[in-house]
Amino acid sequence: MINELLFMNGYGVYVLSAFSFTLLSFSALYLITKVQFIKEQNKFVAKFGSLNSEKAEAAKTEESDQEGITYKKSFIIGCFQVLSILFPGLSRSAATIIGGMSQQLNKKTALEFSFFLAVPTMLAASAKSTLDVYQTNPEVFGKENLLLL
Amino acid sequence: MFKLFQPNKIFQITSKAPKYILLLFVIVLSIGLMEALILSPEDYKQSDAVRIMYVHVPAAWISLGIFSSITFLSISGFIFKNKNFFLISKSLAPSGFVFNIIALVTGAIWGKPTWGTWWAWDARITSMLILALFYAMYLISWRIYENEEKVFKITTFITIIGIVNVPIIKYSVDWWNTLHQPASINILSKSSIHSSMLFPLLIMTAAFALFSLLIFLMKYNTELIKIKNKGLDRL
Repeated sequence: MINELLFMNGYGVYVLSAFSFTLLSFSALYLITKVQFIKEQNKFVAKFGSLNSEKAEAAKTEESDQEGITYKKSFIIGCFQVLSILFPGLSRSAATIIGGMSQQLNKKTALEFSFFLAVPTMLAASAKSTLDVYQTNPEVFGKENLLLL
Repeated sequence: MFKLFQPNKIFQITSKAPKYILLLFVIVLSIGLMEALILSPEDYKQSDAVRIMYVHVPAAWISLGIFSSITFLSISGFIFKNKNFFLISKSLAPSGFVFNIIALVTGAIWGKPTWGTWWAWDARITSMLILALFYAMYLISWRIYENEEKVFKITTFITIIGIVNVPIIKYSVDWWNTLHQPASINILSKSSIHSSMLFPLLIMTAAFALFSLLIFLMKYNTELIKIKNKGLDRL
């Protein structure tokens, strides 16, 4: 029975050598990739072990805080915005972006935050100037002008 | 959508997957070997030599498929400026190369009893050999060049030239009079192969595909760990 299976009408040598070549190259490729993988993994472990654990921990927290904006940080960014009132000509947008980046926000987050910060500030500023105009010359808000609006 | 391709997310999955895929591969391969070597019938003309088909054909299919996907990934990596596509194509290449070599060698072993010769400069065989050379060029160029930008350009160039060869391989048996037989398995029209032979062939194809997936995942993990090692150097 087994002899018959191995002989295969005289073609056994060819068939079995083809199959064994396939399986051998499979196992060779598997072993090579496995060895490479283990080598790199060992290198990683060695490097990670040699690192100062406090430093690694600090790097981790730094990474995670980069995105988040706390109340303290936003207050300091607001103080930077106040600078643009004190020095006329200092751009409000630039001041808030620089303030954000000084608080370890990355560029993108700082820009986004400064953009959102503009909304209440601009609303307040326009309300203030409308009030000023109303107090000095109230005839601007006549019927015709409001209709034009 | 491209956030799904970020290495950190993928690594969580790929670092665990190889174990299960290895298990699945061993099971499917043993079923396939049983079917191919013992249970499937012998050919009326070629007798038992037909059994070589069960390793020869899937290997050729998969090496062609891997080369096409490498080209697709390299080009889209250039279009979307995504480095990860290049990493994926780099880790796909070794299994494709090995499958190509298997197809060539088993083809030679099959050629001896049926055609009476180990090697002939026939259209299909020659184009397959050219594909193997392209694979070798691709793999070597990843080793030679250190500069990342340069490697991306050169490997994409190689794959774009190499992809011209793939349709030539596919249609070489129709365009020229060759020793190699034309395709017997068609998706659109009826296949000229009996189901008792088609079934083990499909199982072996599944096993080979699982093996290339396994090698791909292990290679990909290695590449990701390499990148992490580089990052640790900077800390």
